[in-house]
Amino acid sequence: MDKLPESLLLEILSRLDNSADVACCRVASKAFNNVFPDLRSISLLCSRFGTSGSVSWSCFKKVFLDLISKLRVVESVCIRLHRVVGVGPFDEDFVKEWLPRVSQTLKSLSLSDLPFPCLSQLNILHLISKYCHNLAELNLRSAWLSVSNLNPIPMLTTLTLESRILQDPHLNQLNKCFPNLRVLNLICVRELQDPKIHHFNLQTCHWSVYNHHTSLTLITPNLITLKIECLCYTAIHIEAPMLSHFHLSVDGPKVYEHPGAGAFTAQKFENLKTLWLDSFYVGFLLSEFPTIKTVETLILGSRNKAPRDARDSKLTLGEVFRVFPNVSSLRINSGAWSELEACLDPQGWEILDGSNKGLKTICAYLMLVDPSLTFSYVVCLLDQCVGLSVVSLLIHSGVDGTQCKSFRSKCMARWPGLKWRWGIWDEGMKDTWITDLQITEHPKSSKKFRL
Amino acid sequence: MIEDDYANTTVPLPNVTSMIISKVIEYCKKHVESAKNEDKKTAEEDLKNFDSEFVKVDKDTLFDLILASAANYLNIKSLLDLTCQTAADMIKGKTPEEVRKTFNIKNDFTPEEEAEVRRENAWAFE
Repeated sequence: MDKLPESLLLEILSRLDNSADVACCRVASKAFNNVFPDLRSISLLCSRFGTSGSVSWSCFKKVFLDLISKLRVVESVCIRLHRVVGVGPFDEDFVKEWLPRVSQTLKSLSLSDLPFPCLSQLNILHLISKYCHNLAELNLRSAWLSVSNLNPIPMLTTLTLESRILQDPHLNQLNKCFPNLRVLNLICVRELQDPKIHHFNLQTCHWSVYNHHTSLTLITPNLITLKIECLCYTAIHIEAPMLSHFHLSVDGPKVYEHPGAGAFTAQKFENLKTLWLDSFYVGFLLSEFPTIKTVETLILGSRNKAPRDARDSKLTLGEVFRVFPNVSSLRINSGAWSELEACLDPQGWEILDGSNKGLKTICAYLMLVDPSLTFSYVVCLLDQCVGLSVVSLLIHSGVDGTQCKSFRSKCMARWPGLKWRWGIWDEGMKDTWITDLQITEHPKSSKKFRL
Repeated sequence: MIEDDYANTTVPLPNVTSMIISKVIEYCKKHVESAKNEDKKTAEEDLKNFDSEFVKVDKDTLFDLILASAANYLNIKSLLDLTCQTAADMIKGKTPEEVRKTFNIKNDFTPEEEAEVRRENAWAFE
């Protein structure tokens, strides 16, 4: 390691994401100690007793201020408080000790899990907005955030606020004070009332709302990627004509407690390419959508565990292709597949309006509760989607091996011309693809199933 | 060099062994090929696997790769990122003694210097 010049030692040191590791390097080597002042970021984890890689609550202030004074230029500060309670080191006086010192150079600030009791004395957003004019990235995770006396932070492009209570019910201050946001993540925020995100430059938004009976509005002319997670089916209005990727997830089980309470309205999507719908019964969500011709990739997820009750959702492939006529890639999770099976026409055949030529690939997660029913659904799907070239089916790990094998053989025997990919899935487990398959199952087939 | 219209000239690279150069070329080739692959998702995973195997080398080779990728005439940022991050990952969670052992670092502090730097940073490993 002696041959490495100081600039490269600095490259290595700057890739450590914990200041505790940097501190160990300083003690290990004089060369590291010499380059240390040129580091530009501080990343401290603070826990009650200062175990492995963290600084203890009692030493935190001293260590942190020492780092601030030793580094020549501080561009990035990341403090994570782990289970720190009570009026700890984080009060207004402490923040005023260092924030003004780094205000010119600070580009990125991340403070997480600020403890609750000290917050009544600390309006962190106000202080940040007062001092940090060059801040580009801000990440705040705290139980409670106030927006009183907020100054604009014009250079801010990325904002993540994770808070149970944000005292800006309509998000007016947010819209006003951060006009140049490109990326906004609002997570776990409650107590909002008909909030509206109105940002001209916003490109990526992740909005996770845990309110009942409130409407959500987004007016974002340049938005490209959007993820909305909401607890129950609230009225959502989106004006985002450039939107390309949209993931809508509706959590609650009782979707239609108040029929008509939720309505999805949107200004026409000119560019929507990928759409991911996740809901208790995805059929209901689907029925809210207008026809969108630009969608190429569609992902359907359903959380229901009792698919028999799904009949009301009227989820059918015909409906899917009617709303999204140009879908070329379809992914269906196990809940959505069960919902499709439950809504299957009693005669056992689902009639698509003419055969579908547009669908090229399909990926489905199967439970195989009733293999023959699932097989007949696969038949109706594959026989009518004549454009398909790749079919990926993953079977739940709990299904008996012989059943899986026989299901696989039946499928591949019936459609030998397709490229098949087989896999195993389970909750909380990464999908595993089966990479080799007994060719002997199909002695007549000359195709090698390279998976 | 290529911009100067010297695409066919020999480029002198002192202090870099041919073994290191061939590894660098292997890296560049793989990344260029991967960029041409139309299936973005498998290309990404494939590249990730390649990168993690690529840095499974002894420490001396790793440092030589760091030096080579940073060299002005080569300046391959992604390789620099990969190799420096690998070195950083080797440091994570270690005590100062362990770091010295991992990288064969000679202790060149004077006793006074060592005492002071230890005191200042004791919070991190005691």
